[in-house]
Amino acid sequence: MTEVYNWQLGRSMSYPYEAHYPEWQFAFVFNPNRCIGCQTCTMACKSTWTFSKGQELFWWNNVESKPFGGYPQNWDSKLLNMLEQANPGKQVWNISEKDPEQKPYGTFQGMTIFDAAEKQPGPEGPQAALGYLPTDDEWRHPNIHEDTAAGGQFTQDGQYGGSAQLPEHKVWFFHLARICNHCTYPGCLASCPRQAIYKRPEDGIVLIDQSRCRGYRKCVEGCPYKKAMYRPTTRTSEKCVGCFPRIEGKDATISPTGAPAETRCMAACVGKIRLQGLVKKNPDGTWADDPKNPLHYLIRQRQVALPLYPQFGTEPNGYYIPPRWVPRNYLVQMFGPGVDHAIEQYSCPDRELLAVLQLFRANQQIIFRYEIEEGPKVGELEVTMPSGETKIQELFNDTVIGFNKLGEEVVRVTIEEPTFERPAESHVNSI
Amino acid sequence: MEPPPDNFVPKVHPATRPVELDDPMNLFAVEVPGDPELMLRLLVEEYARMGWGLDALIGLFRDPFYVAAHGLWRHYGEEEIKRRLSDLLKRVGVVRTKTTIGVPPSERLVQIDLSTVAKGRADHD
Repeated sequence: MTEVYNWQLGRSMSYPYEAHYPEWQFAFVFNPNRCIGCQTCTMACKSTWTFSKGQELFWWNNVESKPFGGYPQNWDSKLLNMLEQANPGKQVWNISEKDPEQKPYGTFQGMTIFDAAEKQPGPEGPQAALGYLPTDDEWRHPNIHEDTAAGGQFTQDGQYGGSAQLPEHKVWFFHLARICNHCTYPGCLASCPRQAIYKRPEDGIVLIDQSRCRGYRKCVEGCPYKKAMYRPTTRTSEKCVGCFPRIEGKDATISPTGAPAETRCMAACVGKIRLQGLVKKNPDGTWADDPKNPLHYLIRQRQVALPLYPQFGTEPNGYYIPPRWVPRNYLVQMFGPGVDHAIEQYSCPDRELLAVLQLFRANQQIIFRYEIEEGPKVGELEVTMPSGETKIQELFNDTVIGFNKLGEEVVRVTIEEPTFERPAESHVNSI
Repeated sequence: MEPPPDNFVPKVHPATRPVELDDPMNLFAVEVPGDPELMLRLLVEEYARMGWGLDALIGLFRDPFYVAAHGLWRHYGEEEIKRRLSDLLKRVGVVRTKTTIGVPPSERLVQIDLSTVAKGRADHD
């Protein structure tokens, strides 16, 4: 094991390989506040990349309903339990000291999957990463029982054959869309005994070399997000390929000038919850200062979007804007200690943040830079803050302009005067 | 009244029991605490920020395919959810945006050169 620096944990950690960083890193922001669980992304991915016998096992993109769902079932709670058993009561964050570059969320004092694997060797000896192999049952049914907790119509008292009614999940839940996080320190790559998994130096996409893979399934075991999947028909493992031909700008329909385009799952999102991009990395692995890149702005400057389970230690490159109605302790476990700050920022966005949020799903080409043309104030809105209090948000007639990698303008979105729908009876004097 | 025996297990409704991690059924039989009113308000704010008006929102909440919104519709009922959505939209407003893909149209205007057209006609004749 060598020492590498994980900025999401605010500290160095052990990893089986020396650190090598790509020039650009594939990254994305998802906004579960908007996701309606329509699964369009899932089917866009599936219809593009998976085929033939065995494809039924592959959900490179899936949308699960938290807190009850998961694919494979219980993937996160199982691993969280394993880490807790390896380091009881000490999987905690120290948020007393923060640094915007090196430790924006504080310091994670617990064990990552790499630390825990050293401490808790399995029956085969020490592994590269703590993990488990899901059972066939857990893989078999994406979304099983996630949204169907209703007890049916058999609730009349004394009715023969009637059943008790289970409680419905009417109170809170949210949809969590997931793809491979193309981690900076991938658990799958660390676990592969054949070195069949590699991270592309040009864009950080993690791929499995199918000619080297022998189907040992160590990547399935070692990926904490369970995004490497085994295909029994070919006896190899497969995973999300980050739609790399589109990232390379090879789709002439979408990118006539050869500029990088968003992946299929991003481009198909009807709920506009997704913004994908490439972030510039320095040779030492830190993010280059690129203040007008929308991902840099949302993730590093404003810290509105947070990594998924950063405590696993793989430095995932997928970020989420935490859903506002979910109990805070659940969110902190899932997204780390930056949740309060992120929700505070997102609840009442200022004019720049509101403008950047309009870039979600605005164009199929990846937006590398944005500019804002400021306009006059056009209205005020009432918004709900995390405390439950309401606040007034000012709205401006601003235009956000997105540019692709070649510096070409690809989209502009203008915020206009808001409308307020009032019932007809309050306008009795209308013509 | 006699005190209960040592092995007495109080009768409780399954829905009120806490989550047990080793129970394979727990994830879909236990209700979690939360506030449907807060969830409704924030969902409406979110969609209003994306330009969704009352009719569109009612359609979303009515459709059983969209389980989060539809769960709230079933919780409150059709009339109540309509009233609440209407009340909320009156307060939060609907944000409208105008999107232009690619280069703005004004820069793409093509100036028709009449001499070229005339030349083309002459060639055709």
